[in-house]
Amino acid sequence: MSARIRKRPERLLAQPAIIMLLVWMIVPLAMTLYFSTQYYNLLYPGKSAFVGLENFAYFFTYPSFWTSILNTIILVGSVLVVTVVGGVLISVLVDETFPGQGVVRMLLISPFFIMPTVAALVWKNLLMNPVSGFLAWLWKLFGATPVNWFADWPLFSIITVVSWEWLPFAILIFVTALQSLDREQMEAARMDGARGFAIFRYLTLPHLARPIAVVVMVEAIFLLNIFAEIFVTTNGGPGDATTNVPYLVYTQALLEFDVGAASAGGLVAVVLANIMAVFLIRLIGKSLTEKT
Amino acid sequence: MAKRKHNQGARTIRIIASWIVAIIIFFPILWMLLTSFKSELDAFSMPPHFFFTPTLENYEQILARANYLHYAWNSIVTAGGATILGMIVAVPAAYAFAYHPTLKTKNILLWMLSTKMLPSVGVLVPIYLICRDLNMLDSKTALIVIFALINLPIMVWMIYTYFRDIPYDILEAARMDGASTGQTMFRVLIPVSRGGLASTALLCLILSWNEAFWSLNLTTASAAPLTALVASFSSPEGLFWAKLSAVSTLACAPILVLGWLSQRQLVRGLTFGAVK
Amino acid sequence: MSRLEIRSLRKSFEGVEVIKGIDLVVEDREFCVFLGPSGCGKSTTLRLIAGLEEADDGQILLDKDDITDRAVDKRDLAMVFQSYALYPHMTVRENMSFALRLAKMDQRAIDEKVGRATKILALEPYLDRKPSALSGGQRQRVAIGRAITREPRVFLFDEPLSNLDAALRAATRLEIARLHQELNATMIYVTHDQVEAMTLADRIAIFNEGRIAQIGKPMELYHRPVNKFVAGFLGMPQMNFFEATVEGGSVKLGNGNSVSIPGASQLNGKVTVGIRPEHLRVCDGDGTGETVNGKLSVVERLGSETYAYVDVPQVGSITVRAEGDFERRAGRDICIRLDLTHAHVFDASGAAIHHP
Repeated sequence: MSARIRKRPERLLAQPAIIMLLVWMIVPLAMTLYFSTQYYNLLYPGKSAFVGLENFAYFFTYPSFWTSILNTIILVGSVLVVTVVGGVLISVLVDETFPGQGVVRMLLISPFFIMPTVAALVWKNLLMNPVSGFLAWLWKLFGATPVNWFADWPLFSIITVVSWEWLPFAILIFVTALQSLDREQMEAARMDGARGFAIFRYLTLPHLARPIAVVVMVEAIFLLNIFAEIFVTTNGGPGDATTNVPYLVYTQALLEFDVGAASAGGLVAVVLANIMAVFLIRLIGKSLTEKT
Repeated sequence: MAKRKHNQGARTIRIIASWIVAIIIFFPILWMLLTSFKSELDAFSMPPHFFFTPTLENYEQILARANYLHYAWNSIVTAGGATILGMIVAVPAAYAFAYHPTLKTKNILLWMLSTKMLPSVGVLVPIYLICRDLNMLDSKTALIVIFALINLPIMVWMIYTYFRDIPYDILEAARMDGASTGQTMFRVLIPVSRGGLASTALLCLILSWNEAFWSLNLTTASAAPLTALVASFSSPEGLFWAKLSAVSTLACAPILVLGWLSQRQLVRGLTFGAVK
Repeated sequence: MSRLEIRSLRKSFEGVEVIKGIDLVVEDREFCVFLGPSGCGKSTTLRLIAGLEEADDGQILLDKDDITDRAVDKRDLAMVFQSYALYPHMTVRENMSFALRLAKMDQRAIDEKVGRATKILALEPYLDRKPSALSGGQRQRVAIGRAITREPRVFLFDEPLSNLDAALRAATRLEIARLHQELNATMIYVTHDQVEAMTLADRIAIFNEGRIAQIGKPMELYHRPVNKFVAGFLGMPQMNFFEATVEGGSVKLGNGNSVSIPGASQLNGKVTVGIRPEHLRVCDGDGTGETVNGKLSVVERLGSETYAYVDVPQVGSITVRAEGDFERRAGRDICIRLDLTHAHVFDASGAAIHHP
């Protein structure tokens, strides 16, 4: 008897999703690649010309470009540190059953669901405004002069806002992960004489290692794309103090209409993201498809 | 005896500290909520008025001007539309990955994850130009498609992990009972996994509602959702703090409530199934 | 008529051949048991019959219909899964009527068939409950009920009792036997438990490493096993095996003793002698017959009978069945009567060359 040909129509079910994402990725990227080698200004569309790598040269010599890279790294790095460290500490703090625990949890994760534009404006105006903001009042209460946060410490202010938005995400993930921490193991450790800090270091932290890696990966994905908070507060300024790569590309594309330069910048952002993606996916990605 | 008291003391400190931290973190939202009920004068006063006569004038003004409802409607249509589109595409894909995996399935899933890492800004130019050429700038349709695309990887992953948790022999039993593939999906798989599917839809809804890159760059007036409305309050001259607070509260409240209700279920989607 | 025939069935998974050519006929209304250790291919064969796996080669015929390439939902077979696989979101009634509703049967016919199955399995009190509100045994009955309502040509059971506790297992075993009598349908039943096989089967097919070692009525397999594997698989405790050499008509054991096996005078060379514990006796002290001495290592008292495990130097461990009130204790010396009238002999490759 001959062997049978296998029919697997079910595998075709995945095609729409795959094709859509493929198109979403490839077509625009290809276009960006194309445009990055062109001089193309939306105000003068007739004047397009091939200029090779001139756009990249322009970008690399554009001072704001390097500042934006630096700002992006500082922004992403700081928020990661604050959210992971803060997230771990706070989730361990609240990992205890007590009356009102549910409410505490609700309060802690709330900022994550607030729109970025809202978060930014609430912080800038209601809290950080040097004249009538809440922090100004608090500072005065302790006899200090209120700080003009967004004017004097713009990048720091942005970091504060974004950290406030993402800390709850880390808390939520770590709190959930801690639920699966083996209590019996902790009791055994206690009977062996381990105190709070030792338990934290040798049991809790290793258990959280994978969630931390995942939080870092997911946050990095979103943090490299921070835009709205800058858009509604500082517009990249003062100067380029709070310009990150996304904002820079935005100014080139939609404020200066220089499509060529914006495309070059966009590609740089993609390369940056890919470097990080390769690294992170190798680190964590494989384990995501294992059966847990 | 002393040890127990010491433990009680430590526990009490922990509980108090938890509450303090929680209130500090929640404070900006609380402050925003309070401010929305103040008059603009009260809102801007220094020192801040902790006690004031609440007023609904801000909400009235926002709702009275057709503005808010228009933006809210846009948010609802774009977020809802993206969720529906995303689910229609993601469920079959997750079904194929979970129950009929090939050698390439793992790689395809990881590739989908990596498309999420694509910085939106990298494709801002082409997408902008495509929308302009298709006359879709400032259109809800464009936003719906884009929102669906950027959330598709998360949705596929999330549903994939839920499907993997369902024992395959239930589906085999359905096949033996005479169900075709479609009937198996609609009469057995989807009802059994409806909790997970609901959480996935919810997550997509939340992420689309809060999306603040494409919604700001591709819309001007007619398709702008609430993110853009709030952004319009960023001009330095207009000190409409109370109104800003009211708009913000209206814009965020539904999502906040949804998020509270589904917090546990969202963890799986947000971590691509790594944490359950 | 529901006669199932399998010809030269083959199946590989990831390059490893798991089913190596199975030929089998299950007659109409027969209760056929697929028996064997884990990984022998019995469940895979069942799934190939059901259509849940696709055969690489061979044919499956149901009453002369070639169903080898037919889709799962078109084979008119019903399966009771090991884990029951009940639909968690449906009530018991809906679980049992699902297939009928898919076939767009009219409501009266559905109610009648569901009613019949419910009565046979005493499921009335549970009809409106969901599976999560049922115990293991109840869920299992619903799984069987789901198969009954479909009135399939063949019933397939995949180790249905393995998730039940011992008492429930014994009771359900009886119910399945009764079910077969009442429904008078063809049933194929997979298990690794030889007690289930011996008690339920009209015929047993013993699987080993992807092939059928032997098929036949339970007693045939018990009394005339075709090789060492089958002989060792059936029977509790296991048959005793010891190495021996045949020279000139007499069988020499490892410790030098020579014994005689009636009717086995023409054998030669290295053999394995097999004899079941119930055919050996502890010496009754009258010194007659061939005996062998050893030390009593473990005594298992079951109440109705006792099994004595004896270490005989240079021969091996021999299990002997004794009466329920056997009194000797472990550690003592003991003598066994080696009456090999009921012994089997297997050659060096394991094939049986002599039966009592």
